[in-house]
Order: sequence, then C-alpha cells, then structure tokens
Amino acid sequence: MDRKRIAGPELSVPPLFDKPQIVPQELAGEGRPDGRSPEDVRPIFLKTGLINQANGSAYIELGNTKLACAVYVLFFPTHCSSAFPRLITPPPRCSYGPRQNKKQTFSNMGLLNCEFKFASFSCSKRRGNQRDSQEKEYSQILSEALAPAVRLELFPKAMIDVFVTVLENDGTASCLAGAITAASVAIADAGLEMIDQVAAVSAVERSHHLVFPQRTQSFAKDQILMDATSAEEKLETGTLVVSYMPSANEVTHVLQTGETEGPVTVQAIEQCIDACSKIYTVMSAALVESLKEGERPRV
Amino acid sequence: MATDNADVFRRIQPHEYFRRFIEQNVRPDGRQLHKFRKTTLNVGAISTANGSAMVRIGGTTVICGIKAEVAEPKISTPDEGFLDPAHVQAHSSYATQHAYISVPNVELSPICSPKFRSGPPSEQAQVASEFLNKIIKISKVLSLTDLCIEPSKAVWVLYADVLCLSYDGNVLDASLLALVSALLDPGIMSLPYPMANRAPSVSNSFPPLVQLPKVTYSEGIVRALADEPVTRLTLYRIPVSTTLSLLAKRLLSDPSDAEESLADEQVTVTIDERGRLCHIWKVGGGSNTATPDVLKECIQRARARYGDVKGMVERAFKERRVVFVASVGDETEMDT
Amino acid sequence: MPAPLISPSERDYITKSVQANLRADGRTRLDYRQIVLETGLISQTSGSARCRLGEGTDVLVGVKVEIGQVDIDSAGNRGKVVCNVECSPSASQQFEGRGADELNNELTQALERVLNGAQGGLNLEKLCIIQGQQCWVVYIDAIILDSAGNLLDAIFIATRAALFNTRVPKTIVQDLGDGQFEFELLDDVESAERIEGWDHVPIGITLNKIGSRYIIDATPLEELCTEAKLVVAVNRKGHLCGLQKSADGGIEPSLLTEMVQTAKSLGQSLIKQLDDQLEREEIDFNARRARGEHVEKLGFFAA
Repeated sequence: MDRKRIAGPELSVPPLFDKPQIVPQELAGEGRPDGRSPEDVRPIFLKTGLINQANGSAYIELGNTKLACAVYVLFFPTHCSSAFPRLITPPPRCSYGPRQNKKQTFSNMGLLNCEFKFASFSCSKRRGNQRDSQEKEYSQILSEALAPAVRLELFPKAMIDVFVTVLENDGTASCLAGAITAASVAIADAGLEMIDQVAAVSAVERSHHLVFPQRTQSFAKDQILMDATSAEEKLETGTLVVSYMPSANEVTHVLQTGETEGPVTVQAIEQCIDACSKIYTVMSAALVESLKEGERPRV
Repeated sequence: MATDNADVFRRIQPHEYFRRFIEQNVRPDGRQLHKFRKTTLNVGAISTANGSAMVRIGGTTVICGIKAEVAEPKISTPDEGFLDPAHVQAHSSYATQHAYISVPNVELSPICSPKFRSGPPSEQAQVASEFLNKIIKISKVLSLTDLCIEPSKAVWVLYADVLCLSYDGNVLDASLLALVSALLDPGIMSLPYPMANRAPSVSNSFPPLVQLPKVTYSEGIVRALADEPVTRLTLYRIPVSTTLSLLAKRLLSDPSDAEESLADEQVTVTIDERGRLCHIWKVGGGSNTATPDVLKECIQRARARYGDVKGMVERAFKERRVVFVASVGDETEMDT
Repeated sequence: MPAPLISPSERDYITKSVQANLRADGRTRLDYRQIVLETGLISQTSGSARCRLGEGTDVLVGVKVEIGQVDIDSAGNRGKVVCNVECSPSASQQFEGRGADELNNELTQALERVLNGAQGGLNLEKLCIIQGQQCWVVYIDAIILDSAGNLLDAIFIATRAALFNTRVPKTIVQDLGDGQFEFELLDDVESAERIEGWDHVPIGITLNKIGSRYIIDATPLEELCTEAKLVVAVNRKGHLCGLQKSADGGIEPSLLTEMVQTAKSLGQSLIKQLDDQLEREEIDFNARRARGEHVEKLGFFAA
C-alpha cells in the first residue's frame, strides 16, 4: 500500500457504460469522423518554453492529445555553440556538475534518460501513479528514438533528463509520436547540439475484417489512417509509429503491431515518412519562434 | 558585465540581495510586496477527465484532473481524519456508508523543477496533498450524500490528481484553485459513443456543479446510462487560499520559488465565499514577526484576493474563456 | 558490474568482417548458429521447450494453461495470453540483483506485443469456456539460462515450439438453463488438444545493423558493435506481425525496407524448417510409443 499518498478505497471501478452494440456509421465507413482524409494528420500546436524551470521544454497538442515535455541538463555543456544565448545564463538554481550516475561507473557518451508518464486522468481508464510496464517501455522507445539525433559524444559522463507527461490521451500511438516530436524540440530548446530534429507520426492499419468479419476477405481493403484518434484505434488491426530525421534521411524508430502483408507496412512507413517531413516544418517554426521570444526583454 | 555582477551577488548572498530589494518596497521580479502574479484559469481542457482545470500563477502551472469511479463504501467507522466528529454524530445513520469522498493527491514530478526526483512523492508533495484533503473533508466542501449511489453498496469516488507542470513557488494556492475549479467544471462526462453527439448539452451557467453520469445499481453492478442527463454535484463552500511569506520582517503576497526558499515564515489563509475562515496554516517562526497584527493583515489580503479569484472563476465558467487576474484590483481578460 | 566495453580495434575488426560477409565464427551475414530445440521437458507444464543457439544462448519456455476470469472490457468471449521473461542471474554477471529489470521488461513487452492480439495467431475465442465468465489463460514464461546474444529470437523459437507442445484439457459445458452454465474438465490426457492456431504463431527475427550492412543472430561482441537493431515478427504466411527498432542508431528508409524483406523471407523459411523438424519428431515419437518402446527425453543433456 502506498502510504505516501492519500489513500482511496482498495478497489474502485469506472461505471459500466451501456455501449451501443453496432459500430457507428462514421467509424465503419470510408471517411473519418472528424472529416479528415486518411492521410491527414490532426492540426498540431507546438510551443516551447512553457516550463520555465527547465533548460528546455515543449508543449504539444495533436488534436485532443496533449502532452508536456521538459529537459533538464544536469551538466553545463561547455562544448555548446554560442548560438543559444540562453545557455550562457541558465535558469536560476539549475543544478551544475554532472549528476552522479549510480548505474554505470563510466560512460564516455552522455546518457539520455527519458521518463514517460501518463497523468492519472489522461486516459479513458484511470491510471496508477506508479509507472507501469507500458510507460517504462515507452520511456525506452523515447530514448532510442532520440539518441541518434543528439550529439551525446559531446557530454561524457553527463546525464540528460527528458520528462514527458501526457495530459490527455486521444490515441495511444499518437501520444508516443507526440512525445518524440516534443522531446526533440525541447532538447533543441535547451540548446544541446543535435544532428537533426526527430519528427514522429503514428498511423493505424484498419482492415475491414472487424467491420465485416469474414476472414476470407483479402487485405486489399486495408486502409492506412494517419494519426488516429482513440475512437479510431478501437477498430484497428495494427498500429505504426515512425520517427524520422528529414534532413539526415534516417529512420530513428519504428514500432509496428498487428498482422499485415509486407507491402502494406512498407507503404505505411513511406506515408509516415512523408508526414514527418510536414511535421518538421511545424517544429522548425516553433523553434524559430522561441529564439525570437528570447530576444525580447523578459518581464 | 553589470548584469553578471548582479547574478553573482544573487547567488552568493541571496538574503542580502532580496533584503535590498525589499527595503525599496519592490521585489526582484518588479512586483510590489502585496501584488500577486498574473493568474490564469482554464477549465475543462481535458476531455478524458470528468472535470479538469489548469491554473497558472506566474511561472507555476498546475493541472487538476478528476476521475470518477465507483467503489464499495467502508463498513467500519471512518477514522478521525476523514470526517470531523460533529459530522459523524449528526448524520450517524449514513456516515459510515458514504465514507469516500474525494482522494486528492498532488504530484510534484521531476518535470516541474530540478528540485524533485522521480519515485514516491516528496515530503512537500505529501504536505500539499494533506492540505487539500483537510480542506475538502473538514470544511465540508462536498456533501457525503451527493456521492452515494446505493446506501452501503456503492458510492462515487472522486480521484482528484493535481499535477504540477512548472514549479515557481506558491503551489498550494495554485493546487487548491485548480482542485476547486475542476470540481466546479461542468465538463460533460466523456462518453465512448457516440462521437458526433459530444457537443455539451448542458448550459454553462453557474452555480457550481460537477457532473457524474446517471447510474443505476442492480445486482452488484453499477451501470451508467449514456442517454440520461448527468447527475449534478454541488459544492457547499468554495475555499480559496492565499499564501504570504514573511521575509526580512515584511509580508510578501504570492511568493515565488526563490522567495519561498528564503522566507522565515509562511502563512496560508483559506477562506470561503462568505469570508469565513476555513483553514490557517503557518510554518516556520522564531523571529517574533508573526504578531496578531501581521496575521490580521494576512487575512485582510486573503479577503481582497478572494474577490479577484471569485470573479475570475465565475467568468471562466460563464464565458468559457481563459480568464486571468493580473494582480489585485487590476483585471484583464483574454480570449482563448 | 559495469556494462561490457569493447575496444576500438575489436569494433573495427567486427565491422570490417561484416562488410566482407565473413564473420569471426565463419558464418556469413545471414547465417544462424546451430539451433538446438527440444520440447516437452517439464512435466508440470502444459507444454515446454528449450532453445539453444550455438554454444551460448539458452532459453527455456514453459507454457501453463489455467482457468481464469474473462475480461469484461472485451466482448467477453476471449481467452488471454500472459507473457513473462526473466533473465536468470546465472546467465550473466550483469543480471545480478536488479540488473536485469530493464531487459526483462523490454523482452516481456516485445513478446507480449506480438503474441497478444489477432497477429499472435492463437485462436483466443476457442480458449473461452463460458461466454462472459471463464476462459483459459495461457501463461508463457521464459527463462534465460545463458546469454550469448540474440535472446529475443531464441525466446520466439522456444515459445513457438512450446505452444506446439502445449495441450489444453478438454472441457464439457452443461447448460443448466436460465442462463446458468457449468463445465467439467476431462482428466483424460489423450483427449487434450492443441491450442488452435499455434501454427500461425509468429517468430521474431532480429537484424543488427553494423556499418552499412546488417546481420542476424549476433554474438555478444557483435551486439556491442550494433548501431541499430530491428526486430521483425513474421508468421508462416509471411505476413508481418510486428516491427520494432531498438538500440541507439538510425536506419535509412531504403535499407529499412530491404531489412524487412530479408527478415520476411528468412523467417518464413525458418518457420518451415522448424515445423518440419517438430512434426517429424512427433511422428517418430508416436510411432515408437505405439510399438511400446520407451522414449527417453534428453532434457538438459541434449546437444
């Protein structure tokens, strides 16, 4: 039992909703409930610098999916380029000196420590306060997706902490994609040298088996829906998250679930790479914006 | 170079640095001593929660999300910390059946400040959780009967998690305001289906309500009726807290993180809409500065602050806009 | 215990050997080490298998079917698959104490993601005993006994063989009327059946990108040189059942497509070889038992 939090009842459940048995028309049909075409991503809102205690931070909204990311560099990077004046005068009370890393004795590369958390109220089902195995896994994916882009060799022995909190989950795959995008922008906002920005996007593969459950039907009717909402995810047969560095032309992470024929996935990956390039422009705009704000005198 | 010297001075002799500012009746961030930082409120932003509110006070950002679940009530007598004895006596017939009201928890995660580490809640987070718990339970903000579904069978549990996203002092005021606003949030229960009919069917009017789906109880199963109008929950008091720090024998309203860490004493005054005191909490001491007169001054400032906050909350709900109070007696509005 | 280190010259040696398509142990890039697979080792389980890769990696998988409650969240007519992977501290010094926690979680999630759901192959609806009440829960527990690279592939191969070996007792459901049901377990071992769809269970192929090329079935030294790893889950039909990149490096899109294609064809032929072997062994086993001969399992003395 958790004695450090206000305890609730031992067991509680959400009330059972009497779900309509049939799938609503708009989900079963060819179109999408919010009127997007299958290859459209939801509008993205991305802003840096909302968490003023952090060295770098970003807040992202993908439709209803909302998440915040903060980067703490517990080491003052001496090799950093002077293009980022904010680093020269770091936020007050920012800890200095490499934080002791208990796990490893020595590492000649910087360590990227990512922590991914769903807020307890962020999903349709309440989540616990302790990190569960899915959150631990997403933390690892986050660090693997970002590591190819950050020049970790410049920070031996140092630790870069990346914290992501999901405030609202409208599509679990989109949360992971949003986390990678936001974390990449937050690391750049912190002024750490990177090879390229990492843009990420999610997609679901929807076959019509679930809607018309005849198992013999071919996969030809498969649809690839980019950046699905949680309502669309319920009907999925597979999900895909791709993170990509557009300028370096490198895929930094791929995660696919569900059974498909090879070509469908290959096509979906290509579509995701295209979408990543579009997201890249949003990320660049947000970063340019943050530099402009830096010029203004702070109140 | 001049700014560098000031920065060095602040780091080496923070007390002296602040004292010199305060002698001039101004704070390093340019505020006068009695001024509050810009306060912003945004309600109902999170559709996965039954109620939600985001509060920003200067550089402090907190989000409160409320999840309603169903649980079996406690059969044993609730312990003293849960309900005050007078209440148990007056309503002894149902007091044992409606024990769980809300479970507020404050999360000061490492995302909000380098001060905090991941893992179990820090002492400060535990103190903040207990502060909210006491105010909600002892000040009878919620009625126990309102949260009962079927006596001694099923009751509502409101899990109120307050998440700090950015920490710059005065997290208690921000947390309580977020919690109360989230309880007030008439955000519609997010239903899995149908998507198209998600437009809020309830008017956005005050009085304060939190909405729970209408439920039926039969044979141990609580079912929510998607089509029925939602049950409404009334807040009987609306507490708002005001935190002041005593630094160099002067009272500072709404202390920032730096001021909090230097303060000799800190007073948090919580009052309700009729100006009644709910809770006073004072930490620190020994410097003989918190005289009765100082405490009176604290309550005075809390009353003045209440008016501003109340106006802001009312307008936030009425107009569904982000509303903020710039500082005492100086209000501005902004569209979302 | 610090993470193992590799010297620059060792790294260079391995990278060049991968480029030259001749690895330190004489294999080419797309060669597996010798796979030794044995089923039915543990009598207390419903099915078990042990897979060894070469002289190193050693994985034991036990499958246990138990009766459990149906999830109310789903349609109420599905059984469940629960996976767990644990690294034995004896396998490597790094696994001592809590050293293996992260790896355990990573491997468990990788296995669970592929096996849980439609792409897992198992017909979960057949595992439901009484609609909305009881079902079979398939617990898949893997133990890493010895670690010498390419753990995930070994786990997948052993899991598939263990599911081939698994028998679920037959149940007879009685309708008591009034919406009440009761079921009876048949003790008869002979009547126990395989889980339907075991042959559609996918296996995972791990491709390690070293330099500009990629290899399969990497040894620990080769894993240290790996820039990016790609796990591709493939089933018998050659369909993709999961794809995951890991390790701290990127892959160019064209190479990624090529790797997926390679893994697909490799996986399909590996499944075919394994199935042939498993079936041949079973026919042989049944034939000898029919003749009344005593068939001895080699157990831990195999290979």
